[in-house]
Order: sequence, then structure tokens, then C-alpha cells
Amino acid sequence: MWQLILLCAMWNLTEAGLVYQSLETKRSFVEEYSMSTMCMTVIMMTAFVMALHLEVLLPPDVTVLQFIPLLIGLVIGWGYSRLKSDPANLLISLYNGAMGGLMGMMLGAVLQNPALCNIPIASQAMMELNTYSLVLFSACLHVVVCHLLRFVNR
Amino acid sequence: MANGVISILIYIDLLLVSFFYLYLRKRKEQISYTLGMTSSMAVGGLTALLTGILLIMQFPFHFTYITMFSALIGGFVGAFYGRLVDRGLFVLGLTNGIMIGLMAPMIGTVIEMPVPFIGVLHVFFIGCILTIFWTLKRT
Repeated sequence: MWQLILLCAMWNLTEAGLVYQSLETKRSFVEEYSMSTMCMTVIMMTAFVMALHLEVLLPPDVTVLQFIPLLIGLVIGWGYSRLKSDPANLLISLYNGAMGGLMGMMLGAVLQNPALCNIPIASQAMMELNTYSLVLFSACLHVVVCHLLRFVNR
Repeated sequence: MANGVISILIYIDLLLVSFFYLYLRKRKEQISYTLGMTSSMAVGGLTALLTGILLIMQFPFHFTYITMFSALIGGFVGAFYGRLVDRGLFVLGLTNGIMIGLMAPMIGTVIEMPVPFIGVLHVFFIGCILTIFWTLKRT
């Protein structure tokens, strides 16, 4: 079933790319504060969802790979910060990307091992169902947010 | 904490959020961009947090459904509060509520002293609402 999560990750990445393209096209017509709000929104949500997907997809026993979701969050923050002219916005973008990445990593870790948070899920089948339903739910929410952002930016 | 108390607390929180939204809607011309951003992020996020924590304490065996429900509640509240000012804040409040709602049940499952924790969260929640109320009164 990992193919489903990979598909969700690619779907979310495509949506984030479409939002980037839409924001870049309308860059000169949107006020700076409005652009900042929209970038903050898409950075937080994309970093969270991508970190969640990666945390679920990557093997949990390799310690070095645990930093990849955080790095992805930082890269997403850096990428969207290029849309804004004020260089101080780089900091807030990186912060939002890192926070989203960390939160996604945390949720992914709990989904893989519910005993971390004392969640009473015992069987492997229940755990997998829980993981797939929450990953699909967050992927759908990300798509809704991206569509709304493109609608707002229209 | 008794289940009846938890239900009453959820009911009071949702009533508080609804009436404060109606109050803000009457005075939406006075709300600045910064106050709108603050109110959508604070009220949406705290509603998601309180809903997630209180519901997971009442129904500890329904983690998935409660995570989805608290994310949706937080998203709706944040979106409605943000919609009072701007369409950009609508999406910002929605996202913030969703993210905190997805994390809230995890916090609810690990707290060891629920009564002081929920008490402090409610004090903080009411303090946030009162601060927004006073800021709006002064403008």
C-alpha cells in the first residue's frame, strides 16, 4: 500500500507547484502582506503534509533518514520565500517550513508507533488502517487548501 | 474527569466561539488586518486544540475520527473568523486550525494531570477572547 502514499505525495507536490506558479504569475498584482499570508499558508501545509508522507514512507530504523522531512520543510520554505521581495521574509518562511516539517514528522512517528502517545491501538491491521486514513485525509485537506489559495489568487 | 463535565466544557467552548463570532460579525468594519489575523489564528487554533483534547479524553478508542473531527472544527472556526476580514485570512485561519486540530489528540493522550491542564487552557482561551474584545472596543 506504500504506492498509495507515494501517489498522494506526488499529488500534493503537483498542487503545491501549481500554487507556486499561480502566485508567481500574479506576483506584481498582489500586495506584499497578502502575498506573505498566502506564502505562509502554503508553506505550513505543504511542509506538514510532505513531512508526514516521507516519515511514513521512509524506514524507521535508519536514524540518518529521520532528518529528511525537516530538510524538505526547510527547502519548501526557502523555495516559496523567493516569491517575496523583502529578504526578511526568508526567515519567517524557513521558520514556517521547519515547524510544518517537525509537526508532520511527529504525526508520522506517532502513526507508525502509536505507543509513543499511549494511543490504544493494538493490532497491526488497525495501525495500518489508521495510518492510511489519516494520510489520505491530510492529502485531501492539502488539495482543498491549494484549490482555495488558487481561487483567492484568481 | 467525568464525561458529563467534558461534554459541558465542549458545549460551553462552542457556544463561546459562536457568540463571539456573531459579535465580531456585527463590528467587522472595525477589525484591522492584524487583529483579523490574530483572531483567526488564536481562536481557530485554540478551538481545535480544546476540541481534540476534550474529545480524546472522552472517547480514547477513536483516535482517527477525533483527529479528523478536531481538524475540521478548527479549520471551520479559523476560516469563519478569517473570512470576516479578507479571503487570504480565510485560508490562513483554515490551515492553522487544520494543523493544530491534527496535532491536538496526540497531546490529549499524553497529559497526566488533565484537570489543571484543561483549566489553564480554558483560562488562556477566555483571555484571548477578552483581549480581542478589548482591542476591538478601543478602536
